[in-house]
Amino acid sequence: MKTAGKSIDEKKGFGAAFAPDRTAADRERPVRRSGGGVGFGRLLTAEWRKLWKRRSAKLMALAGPLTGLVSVKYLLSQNAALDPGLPEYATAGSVPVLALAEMLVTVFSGMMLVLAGLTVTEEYRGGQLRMGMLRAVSLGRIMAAKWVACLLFMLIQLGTYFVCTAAAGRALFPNPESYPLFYGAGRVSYGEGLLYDLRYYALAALALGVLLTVFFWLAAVGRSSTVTLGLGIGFLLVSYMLPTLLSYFRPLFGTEEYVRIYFLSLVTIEWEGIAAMLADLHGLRLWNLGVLAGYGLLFGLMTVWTWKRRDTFE
Amino acid sequence: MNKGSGVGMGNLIRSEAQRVFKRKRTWAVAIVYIVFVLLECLFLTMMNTSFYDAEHSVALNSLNTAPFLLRELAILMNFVVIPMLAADSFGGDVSSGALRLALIRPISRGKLFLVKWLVLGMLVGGLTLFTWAAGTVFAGIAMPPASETTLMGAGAVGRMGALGFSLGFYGVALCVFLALIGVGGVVARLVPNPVLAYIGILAVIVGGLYVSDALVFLLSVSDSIFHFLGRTGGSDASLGWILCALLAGCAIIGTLGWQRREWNQ
Amino acid sequence: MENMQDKRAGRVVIPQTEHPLVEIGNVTKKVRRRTLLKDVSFNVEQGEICGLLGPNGAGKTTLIRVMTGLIRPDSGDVFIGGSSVVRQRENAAAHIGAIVESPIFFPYMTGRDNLENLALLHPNLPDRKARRKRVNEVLEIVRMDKRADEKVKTYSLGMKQRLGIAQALLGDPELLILDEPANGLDPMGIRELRELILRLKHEFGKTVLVSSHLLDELQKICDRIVVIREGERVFAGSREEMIGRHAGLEEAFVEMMTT
Repeated sequence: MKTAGKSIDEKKGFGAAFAPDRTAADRERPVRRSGGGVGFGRLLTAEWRKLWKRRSAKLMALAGPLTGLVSVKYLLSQNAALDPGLPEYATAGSVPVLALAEMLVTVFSGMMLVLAGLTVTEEYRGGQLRMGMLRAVSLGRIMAAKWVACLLFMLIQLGTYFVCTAAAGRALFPNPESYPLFYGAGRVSYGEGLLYDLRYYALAALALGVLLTVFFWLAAVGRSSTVTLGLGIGFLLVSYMLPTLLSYFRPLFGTEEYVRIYFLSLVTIEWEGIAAMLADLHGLRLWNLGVLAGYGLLFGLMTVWTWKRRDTFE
Repeated sequence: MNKGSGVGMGNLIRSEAQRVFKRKRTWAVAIVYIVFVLLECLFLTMMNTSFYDAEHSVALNSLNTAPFLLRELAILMNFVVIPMLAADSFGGDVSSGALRLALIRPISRGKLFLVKWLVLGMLVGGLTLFTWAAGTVFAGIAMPPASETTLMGAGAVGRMGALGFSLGFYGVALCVFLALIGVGGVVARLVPNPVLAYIGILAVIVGGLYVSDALVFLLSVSDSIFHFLGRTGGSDASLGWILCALLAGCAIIGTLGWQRREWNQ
Repeated sequence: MENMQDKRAGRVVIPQTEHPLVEIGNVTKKVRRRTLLKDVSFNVEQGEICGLLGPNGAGKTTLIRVMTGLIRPDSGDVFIGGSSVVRQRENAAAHIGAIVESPIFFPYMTGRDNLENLALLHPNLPDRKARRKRVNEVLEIVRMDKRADEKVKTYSLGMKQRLGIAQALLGDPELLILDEPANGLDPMGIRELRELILRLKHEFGKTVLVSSHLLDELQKICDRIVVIREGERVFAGSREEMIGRHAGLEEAFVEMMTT
């Protein structure tokens, strides 16, 4: 990505990036590679605004804190039945992580899928993208801008979720001197716990970013938005079912081998893998990062290749 | 011109069926589902065991296998096949504007809704029937032979009893699928955008859990049907009347909704 | 009410009726406090070509959606062939063939498939033979018979428009409503369209309501012109009446749009 961040132009709205009448300042700028006279920053601004114009994006943004509330309510009810000595017992410090673990696989993954389906397939099939393409902005760059815009949306969502759940944790849950972390990663105080939470959220963001990349590829190959969604849900279901299937063959593997195969699935990484990474259980930190990088590279390259081909043939 | 007499249901169904079955996507979905049915058969021979629910496992034989195919396949059906078809049919056709050419004709729009439901129901019904047939034939060929088997709630049954049970099981399953298609119709009435309609259907399946345990059958189809047929009590005992209420509710809301809505797409 | 003659008996003869074919009475439509149509009234007589003229966003498509029963007016009503679109939509719809905005077909089906599919929805085409015959007839009328067996996604815009007119003709309606049919057509296409509309009137006795934002398009074919602006009818009358005391149609139109 050849970014030109400096050219983000706040005053020009969506469409400005595609507008044929370029300003004098624009004309002075050297024309960039791949025929795009428009800086990446402006493409991104355009995509970002377009994303927020959607009512569904606004609804999703509201859904974040709302699901946060739902899981906080659930954690409160769970606490009643749990031994306070367990890491599953929610305390002020652990609420952000416990509440996210609840929703990461379902709500947040679903959001990535909707973003990909709405911004990529629907626009591509609906022909709106032609408006951009007619103005000689390469499809690859538009897609990159869309991907970054969706990523930003997700980061903001995670940020809001963190703030909301941390506040709810502080207000509604017990705050003991120290509490245990998952997988025997030791006991932490409230402050240390928040740091742990932040690292957890960072890894969650990474996993979601990789998932978004997978969905962007599915959106590129999907013939329509419902196909994209079907493929995406199928991907999530298979990612969930294969590890379950693996558990039937548990006796055939050693522990190290087993967990490594188990965490080949993005869903299991989201579900249990992040806590395991933070505890560095069985050397999973490096392994899971490797798996994430593998997915990201594979699907990223396939996406780039798909759009490159489209650029020349359509 | 016989203006008053209206168009018969037969022609409405044929028209909708043409639109659905000439679409490649419909066939692609059906073929993927069928491939998974065959994979599931393979899986069951490898395992030789399945589950009524999380607590009750069962050894499979030539008589009792058929219903257990649906344990995994119903998830594929409820999360992929039905949401996709329903979002396309009730939402996609409307929001793309293609249905407009049908809507301006002298036909009842309420009937059009029912016909869409019926045609998807026939497609899903065909797939359900295939699952049952594949399960029954396959069990006879590849599973350990038995002349008698025990089924949850039904006790010990012979060949005919087992066949009857599996037919009943798949019959209830089809009703669950039909209800979900109806839910799809109602959801797409609220949000015609197919992406949002798809997500909306999933939200109903998952969100139903938060509303009442009795709605769990949309998520765990086969477990709930086993409980219902086995009369084990608990939240699945109400499956029958909830299904009826859901079917009737969706039919009424959908028909009235389509008669009264404004077609701005 | 049922005083329409059977067109098949005498196509070229325009039936004389007591009522106008289309009566639009005080139609008002608001969406979220924005008034899209304000108290619009006019009639269209049997056998005439009526032009609905107005700039983009004037409410032409909204009015056509009301006329075809796709949306309901907040007040007022539209009668087509004596049937209320609000209360007897199916009866009224039997008199209408329409293109609303651009005609969107099922792209994965051929032109003929699309028409045969829609023909199933007409009560006056009860059997397969009648439907096949009618589909061939309308394809011939719009001169699409040669490309009819290709998928719609391979069609040009002009061909889609012609197929759009073909589907509007399927039920042999008295009234054709064509919403901006010339959109996206090249000059040759526009000329062909004009000739087709005139032929539909003279040869088949159709009444046509055609909307456009271009005066040129309408003035050559229309018997009567209705002008709407910002949801209000600002003029309804013959071409001659519209010119009135102005130097020409163009001036008359410009004045209506600016004052």
